Amino acid sequence: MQKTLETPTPRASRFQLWAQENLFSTPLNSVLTALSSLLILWVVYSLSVWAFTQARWAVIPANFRLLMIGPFPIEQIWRVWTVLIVVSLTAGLHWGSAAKGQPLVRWPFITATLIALFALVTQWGFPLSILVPTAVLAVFAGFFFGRAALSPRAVNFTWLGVFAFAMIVLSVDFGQGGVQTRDWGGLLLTMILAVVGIVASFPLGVALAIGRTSQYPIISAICTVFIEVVRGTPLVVVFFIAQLFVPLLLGGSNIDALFRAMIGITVFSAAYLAENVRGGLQSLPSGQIEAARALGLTGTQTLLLIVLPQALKAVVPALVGQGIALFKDTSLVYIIGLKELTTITNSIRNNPNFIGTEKELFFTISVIYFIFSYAMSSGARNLEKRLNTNR
Amino acid sequence: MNSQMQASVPFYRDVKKLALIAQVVFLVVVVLLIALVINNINLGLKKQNLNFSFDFLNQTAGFQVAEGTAFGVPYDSSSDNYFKVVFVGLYNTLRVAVTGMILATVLGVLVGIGRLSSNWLVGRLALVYVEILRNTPVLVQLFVWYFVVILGLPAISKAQPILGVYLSNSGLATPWLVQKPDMPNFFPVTIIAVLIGLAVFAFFSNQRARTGKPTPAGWYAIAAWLLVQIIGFFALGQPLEYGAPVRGNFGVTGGLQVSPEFTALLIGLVVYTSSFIAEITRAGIQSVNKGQTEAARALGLGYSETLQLIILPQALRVMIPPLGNQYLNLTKNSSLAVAIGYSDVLNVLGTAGNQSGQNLQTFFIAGIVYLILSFTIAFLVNLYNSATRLRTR
Repeated sequence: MQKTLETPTPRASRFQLWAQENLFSTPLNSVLTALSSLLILWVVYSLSVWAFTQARWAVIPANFRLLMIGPFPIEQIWRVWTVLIVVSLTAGLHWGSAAKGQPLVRWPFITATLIALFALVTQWGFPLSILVPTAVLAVFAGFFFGRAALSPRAVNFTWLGVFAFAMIVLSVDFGQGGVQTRDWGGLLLTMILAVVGIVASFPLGVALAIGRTSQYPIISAICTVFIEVVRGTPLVVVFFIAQLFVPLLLGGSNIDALFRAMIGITVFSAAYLAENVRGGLQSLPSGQIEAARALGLTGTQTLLLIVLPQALKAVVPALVGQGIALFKDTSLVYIIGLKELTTITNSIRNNPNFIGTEKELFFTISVIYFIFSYAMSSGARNLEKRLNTNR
Repeated sequence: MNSQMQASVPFYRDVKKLALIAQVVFLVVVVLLIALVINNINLGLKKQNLNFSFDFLNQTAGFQVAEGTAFGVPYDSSSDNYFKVVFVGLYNTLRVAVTGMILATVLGVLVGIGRLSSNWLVGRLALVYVEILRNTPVLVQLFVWYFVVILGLPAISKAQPILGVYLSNSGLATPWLVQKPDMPNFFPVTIIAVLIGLAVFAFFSNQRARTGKPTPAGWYAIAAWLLVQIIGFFALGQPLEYGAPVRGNFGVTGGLQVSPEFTALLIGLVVYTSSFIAEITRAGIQSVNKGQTEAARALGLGYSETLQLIILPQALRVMIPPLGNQYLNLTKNSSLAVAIGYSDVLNVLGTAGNQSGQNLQTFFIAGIVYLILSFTIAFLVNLYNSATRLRTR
């Protein structure tokens, strides 16, 4: 028996190995890979042909202000800039306080640099050339200050202050005329609706969840009926009913349409949020409550210090999912005619000057919606990691 | 001794009595609130000289409805009343919702399996599909399907038929079995046949659970359903005939014709919902213990057999409750038909409300209709869920 020495085959490169493993492991897989590649090539090819040769992108810069703020009066635009700069500062603080003790090169810097580059490249006129860099600088300033001095908890409270500040600055008359809420529009209105919905539905949803899991049958029954009825109704119907019922209810027909929509979206979102929170409440082992009571905590203390913090932490992913859903659902106020991003897009589409630009418009706003939703979901993943105390 | 101690506790420190008092107070507050709401609404209605009655439902509707049939009965705007119109809308809602649920499930499960594919490219492709669709609003997607895709198709005069199917900017026209005009309505037969099929399925799966003998309950159910359909077809004197779309001078006639609005709404809802179902499928499959796959492969089952016989049946148990939620969402999202002008129940009720001036009642009816739909779906899902639940001893 003589062993013949096989000539060693040349070692495959790492890429070859990887490709063999992940793309061509079986004949079926090879076929799938070929088909997928063809599909990707076709989509990329037709998308680039459209984007670079056919699309009339001029519609976007021509209507950029409309898309961002809708019919907001131009002479009052300093209000929007003030809010934007304050929000940039707070966002910087938020990032900074979250990035404590981490290397400096991170997302905020990449984002801020991109914005600055964009501002330089497009060479806007006077006010923008000052204001955009100011907003970018605010992000940087906030980041360094927050990184050095602030705890994430302090920033969370700052957000509430910023929210109140923004609502005041965007509307109140300081002597030269205020801004009507019906003049709010575009992405600005989308953001306001989403933030108000999320902030207002949170306490209501938590209260409903506690009510539904309550040991008192009457309270539990009432909360259950409320939650199930709202969850069984489409948001569009809730909006229509809010438009009709809220004025009847509060005894006046001149109630702001935006306010009615806010009530609708808050009630709707609270019912869904309640179900998510209920999941968290029910996942909590009863030993936690028993231990708290044994230590002499009162019912309220047990709820606030023991039950809620753990229950809410358990359902962070679901809560963020709810926030994303609410953000996307703000587009439905199109049906009742509020001028948020989707409505504005449709009115531009119907403008005789911009006939046939629906692809460009819908592509742009889809990208806008996508960026915010995706940012929320990836932010949630980070938050989940940070809150995970069972590492 | 014990009773003495209880008697000595004053009522304001007795937990049971306090709980009762708290609940009564809560109930009174809620009742007062509701009374206030009703009172205010009545006052407001009086101010606007309206009254909350549903008498208008008996009046003639008098407005045209595109795709106006209710469960196979055509709608005539000159003689039919508002009540009938509600059913026309309900039929259209059910049409898009039921078709949507079936198609979204098929597409979603495929994409979900694709997400877990051992093929890297397929997995990435499915991930991109899911992320793009989940992170943009369904309304914007509907606009894209309607205004960009469907209305961007060639006109019917230039459309090229593919296997007899015309897809153009005036919708979809496809060969179909169509109702003969002067024949009895075939729709009830279909409902009866489906019900009988379900009953057969329930009977044989119950028997399988009792005796432990392998019974193909699904096949028996399908056979029973088809049998009843065919018997009904001949018993009623063949009320259906094969019809293929034919292009004339004024669009297409014959076959099954679907409006561009229906097509856009259906595609939009199916594609949007499929992205959520894909994630549910992925989570469901991942929830099945890896040992199950390994055991199945060790027993010599192939990849698709393992998936069909071992993984999916177990994954289904985890998937059913969230899947039911997606069916609910799809049905509720079908109300976005308003935005692209499909005559669903909400759209029709909106028109009815504007025309009769009874907006409050029509939206009230819309709310009730959607509640009934939602509770029906939830009930069916729960029924199925408890039937397939893992029984542990």
